[in-house]
Amino acid sequence: MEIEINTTSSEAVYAQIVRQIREAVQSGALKGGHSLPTVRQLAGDLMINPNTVAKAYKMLEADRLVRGAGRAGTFIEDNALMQLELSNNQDAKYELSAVLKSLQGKGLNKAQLQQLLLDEVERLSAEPDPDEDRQISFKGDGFTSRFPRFLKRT
Amino acid sequence: MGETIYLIVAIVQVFALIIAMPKAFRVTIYMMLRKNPEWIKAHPEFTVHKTIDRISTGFHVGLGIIGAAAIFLYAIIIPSPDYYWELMAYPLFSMFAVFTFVMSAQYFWLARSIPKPEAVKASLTSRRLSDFVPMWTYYLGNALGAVIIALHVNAIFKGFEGAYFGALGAILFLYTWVNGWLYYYLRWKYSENEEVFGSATRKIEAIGGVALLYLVAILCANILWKVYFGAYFFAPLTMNMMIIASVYIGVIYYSLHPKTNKTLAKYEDNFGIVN
Repeated sequence: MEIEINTTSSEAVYAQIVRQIREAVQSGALKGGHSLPTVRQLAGDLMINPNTVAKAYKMLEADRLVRGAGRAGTFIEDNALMQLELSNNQDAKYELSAVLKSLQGKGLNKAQLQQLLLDEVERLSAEPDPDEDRQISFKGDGFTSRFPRFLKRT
Repeated sequence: MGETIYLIVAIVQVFALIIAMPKAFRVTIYMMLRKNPEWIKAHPEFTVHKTIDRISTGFHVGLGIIGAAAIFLYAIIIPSPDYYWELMAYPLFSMFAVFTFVMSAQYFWLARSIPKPEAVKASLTSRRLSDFVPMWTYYLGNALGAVIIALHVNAIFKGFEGAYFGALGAILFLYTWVNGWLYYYLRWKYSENEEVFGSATRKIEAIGGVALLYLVAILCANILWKVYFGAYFFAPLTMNMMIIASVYIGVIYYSLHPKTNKTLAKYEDNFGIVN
């Protein structure tokens, strides 16, 4: 499993690391208990400052996707996939809430918003996709999230 | 009989220095070019790798010639009772020094002269020593080293025959060298031997590095045995010759192996021939 950092990208380097590790957990390439490289190893391999890698690891630790075990190293949490889904759902709720509030501010009422959402979900469902669980990329924070189930129920 | 064995291993050493070592180092030099292959191809005026290769080849061939001259001098013109040091030990220590110099030049000069590429890939697989060997084996190897050094210091201050600062320096050098090699080796992104022999090679080399700690401990313990008890535990001829001969045979095997030649040819196709 490899990650690739592009120094010319507008996305911050630590965010590229976080995003790619999250994607690897999501896809199953990194499973619970996998030992991640040390901060120095990854920083050396990517030719970046160790503080950047440390920052990325801290963010992943805060999201409970990885656990630091001192000198033993940094490991993918056993329930990382579940944590990721929870975190993605929270991200989706947060972003959706912001969008809905913004649209409400533009004068759309609840019924119109609900109809718009349902139409959008139907449009997405109609698109050919090999995966059953559609993934939506939230480019704003660079995280890939599952579409929240509560929306499908509405 | 003993002198004949010294002579045979000394001749093998000359072949290892002249033929095998420059080639083995060339593989490691090419590996550094993987940092930014596109830039290297676009800048044919960049010759640091060629310079380091010439230094490495010059050093090794030079040592080989000195070794051959030593054989001629000490075995034919003025046969000496001190064959071991004259034919084997001095070239061996010089080789350690050359190894350290060339590797440092690669790491601090060549690798740093090549600019960082825009997109860099890295593996998410950990390369800590504990991923390859149980850490107690590493700690025990170094603990033995600490005990040996303490006993040697004690012998020096008590004035035992055969205990002197030169030997202590050699012991410290060997332990520092093995630990440094293990530390930097595991930190390197690309393992040249992994490239040549496949993914399991790094593990084999890490195990080999730790095994080297014990080998150094046995070598040093043998010297201490003589200091404290007046005689070697293992006959130095048998033990030292076996170790040295196995190292040289390993290097010659590595340099002549078809996989090494194939890897070297692949890099020469990509980056041009060094010499």
